[in-house]
Amino acid sequence: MNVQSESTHDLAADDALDPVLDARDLTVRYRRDVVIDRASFELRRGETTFLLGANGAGKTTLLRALIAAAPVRSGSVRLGEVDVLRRPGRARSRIGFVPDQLDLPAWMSGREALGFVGAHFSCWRGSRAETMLADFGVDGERPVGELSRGQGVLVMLAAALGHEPDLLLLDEPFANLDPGARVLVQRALLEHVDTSRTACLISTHDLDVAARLADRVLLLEDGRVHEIDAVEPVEPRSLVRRREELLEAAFATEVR
Amino acid sequence: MLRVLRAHLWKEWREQRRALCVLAGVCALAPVLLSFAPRPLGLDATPFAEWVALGGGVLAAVMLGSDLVPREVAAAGRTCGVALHGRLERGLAASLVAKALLFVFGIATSASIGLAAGAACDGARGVRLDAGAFGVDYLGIVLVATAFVPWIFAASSLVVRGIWTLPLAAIGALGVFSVVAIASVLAESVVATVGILVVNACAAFLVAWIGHVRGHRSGTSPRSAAVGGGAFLALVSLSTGAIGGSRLWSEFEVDPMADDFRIEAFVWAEGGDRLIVQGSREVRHPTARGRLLDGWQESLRAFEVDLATGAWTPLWERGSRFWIPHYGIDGSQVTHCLVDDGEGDTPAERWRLWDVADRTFVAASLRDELEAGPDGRPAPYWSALGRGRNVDPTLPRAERTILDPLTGYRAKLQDLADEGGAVPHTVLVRDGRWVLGCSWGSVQLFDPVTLTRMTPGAWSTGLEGTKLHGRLLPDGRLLGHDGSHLAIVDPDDRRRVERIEGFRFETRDRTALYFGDETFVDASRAQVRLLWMIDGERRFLGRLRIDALAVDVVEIGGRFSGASAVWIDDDRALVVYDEREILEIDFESGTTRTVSPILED
Repeated sequence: MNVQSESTHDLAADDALDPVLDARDLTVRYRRDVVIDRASFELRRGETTFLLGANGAGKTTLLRALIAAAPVRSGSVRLGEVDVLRRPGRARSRIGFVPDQLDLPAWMSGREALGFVGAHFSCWRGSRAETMLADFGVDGERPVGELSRGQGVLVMLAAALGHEPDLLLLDEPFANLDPGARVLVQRALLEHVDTSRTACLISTHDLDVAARLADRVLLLEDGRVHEIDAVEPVEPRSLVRRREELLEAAFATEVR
Repeated sequence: MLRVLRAHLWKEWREQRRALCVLAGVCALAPVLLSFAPRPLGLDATPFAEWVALGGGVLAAVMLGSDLVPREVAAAGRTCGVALHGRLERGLAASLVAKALLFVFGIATSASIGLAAGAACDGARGVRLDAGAFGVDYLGIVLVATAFVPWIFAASSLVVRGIWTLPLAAIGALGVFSVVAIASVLAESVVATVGILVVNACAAFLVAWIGHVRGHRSGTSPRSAAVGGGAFLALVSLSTGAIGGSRLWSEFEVDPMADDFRIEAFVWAEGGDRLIVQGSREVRHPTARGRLLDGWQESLRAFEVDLATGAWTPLWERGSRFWIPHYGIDGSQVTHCLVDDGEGDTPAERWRLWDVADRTFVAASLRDELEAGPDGRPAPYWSALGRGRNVDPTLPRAERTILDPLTGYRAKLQDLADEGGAVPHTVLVRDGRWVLGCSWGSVQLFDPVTLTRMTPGAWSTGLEGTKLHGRLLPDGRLLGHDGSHLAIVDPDDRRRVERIEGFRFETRDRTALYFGDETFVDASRAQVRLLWMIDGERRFLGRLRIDALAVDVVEIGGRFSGASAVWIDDDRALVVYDEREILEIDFESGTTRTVSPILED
């Protein structure tokens, strides 16, 4: 099921759902292995989109491809008017990325890490990032290597939002988080998306989170991207049913 | 850009400051520890400064080079996703530049600390940096290290683990070798050498750029970057290796017909039809302060030259050297020369006598011959040594003992100093009658036994403007000129001067007049000397007939940088002209013939 052909959204009705990122026939290949095969989809302003897929399906690779950090063989990725693949630097100035592991130097304090990351962006709101860090309840003076996994994700989230991106990409942000930390990260994320109307793509294995938070769900299977049926705002009583639907869709192959 | 660079410099400093402190400590303590080295190692009198500085620089290059970039790559590998720089707007280039700057800073700092600590330690031990310090060999090593170090940095950008840095850098060694070879062979100035090293560093930086910046910008895996950068590195190494190797190899191929071939010495057996010539390519390295590098001196090659046809035939193995006294101590034509054909361990074993006439080696204990000949004097074939008067060349000049090869007379130079205390540059001895010390600006005449001055102050020949030349005639008189003619001065009666007709200096500027007689004379031709003269811009060769007080002159055009000559007979001499051509001069007819090289039309 291709997103372009099967999406049932009526986008014109909602200005907030303007497409921020438009990927067309995106193909990523490592040597002879086609990891992403002609993927086409849009990410829209104010929408939280989840990317599901089995282990090794290529979720991280797809996220990397969207910031021109993977060997894209064909296709295009446009961020507004910017061709991401041709002008990755300019595109990255409008994209926030939270990797699956802490990639900041472990010896840097949270505050130093924000300053260091901020030096790499032409438009950086340092005070906003530091305020965000304080709002997240993270001790900005502690080395990031000594922070908990959840606090580390929050530091990277603050670093990813410091330049006020149009698009936020998060790679497994909830993995290995305890319930408290997971709530903390989710709350911070939702508050930001709600206030800034940033487009957001989150890869995860956590179906519960996807069922509760997703506006849209993309499924990556055999290198192809499919959109799972459009979702309405989730009601608590329908949560169990939604989870079963997602589970069936995401892992249908394995179940069979 | 500056903001990013500043951020990365700060980051690199924070990450490497411990390593830098360790390096500083090692460099500071190394000379102290070396000073406690066991005496059998023989380091007591060895200055540490230069070697600790070099070692510190290389150690810094290895330590920093194997960590700066691999640390970044390893951090990226841990994320299994995007390296930090892969998700930022910019900064990869700044990251590499900052690492390179810290790399250079670390090396420079370590070397400087090593130098300072070594110098301080040397001072405390009372060891002076002698004239040999920072010499040609040392500069050569520094040159190699300077060429090699950038490749450590380059290689480190292609590996995930720092431990692979050095093996990969070894791949660049071929390129380094080539660069050094090219620099040594082709560079004709310090500027050119520095330029080649800069190009070398830029090539290494380009490899690092491919590995670090290009490799991560497009999301290529470190392995792919290594393949790309390694391929480039191999390409650079192989291409420069091919060029440098061929250049270097060609240096050892001494072609006597090549333009840069230089004749350094030659010898001729009486009545023979062949000239024995030693020559080499003129390879001078700027860092060797204009001198030939030891390695290039191996390009010396001996040849036989057929005087009739001008054909050259290689003699002995490549690298063999021979040493030729100009003439025998008794004025006879030289009959032997010394040949080092590389056989044997010690100089005494390597240098063997070679009979010029028979073209055979003569077994002899050269050291014994050096110390004393059969009559207690140096043997005839050692007259060149006596002529150099280097009886004890290791002493300071004033403390040296001079030896007159003709008489065996010995005296200390400091005993022949003029009133100002200046020791003579030339000492002439008339056995039992006088000793003449020629200093710059004055000539002193001494009693040979008491070494007291025979004339008050400087000696005057009595002829205004007479300039004495530092050569004795066979009868004990001296050769000089009075500004227009050659003249013979007899120190025995202090004033007697005889003018030599046949040649008149035209130049009024006395400083532009010069003459020299590089050869002693064959005993059978005691009254005939070969002179070379400079009269302003004109160059001449002359045959001095002492008994007739006359000189026959042939003008030699162009540049004339000294002459070595042998007499073929009373009228003809062979001379090496411009260190390149062998000319036969016929003074009777006033003609010259080029023996070699014979240029084809």
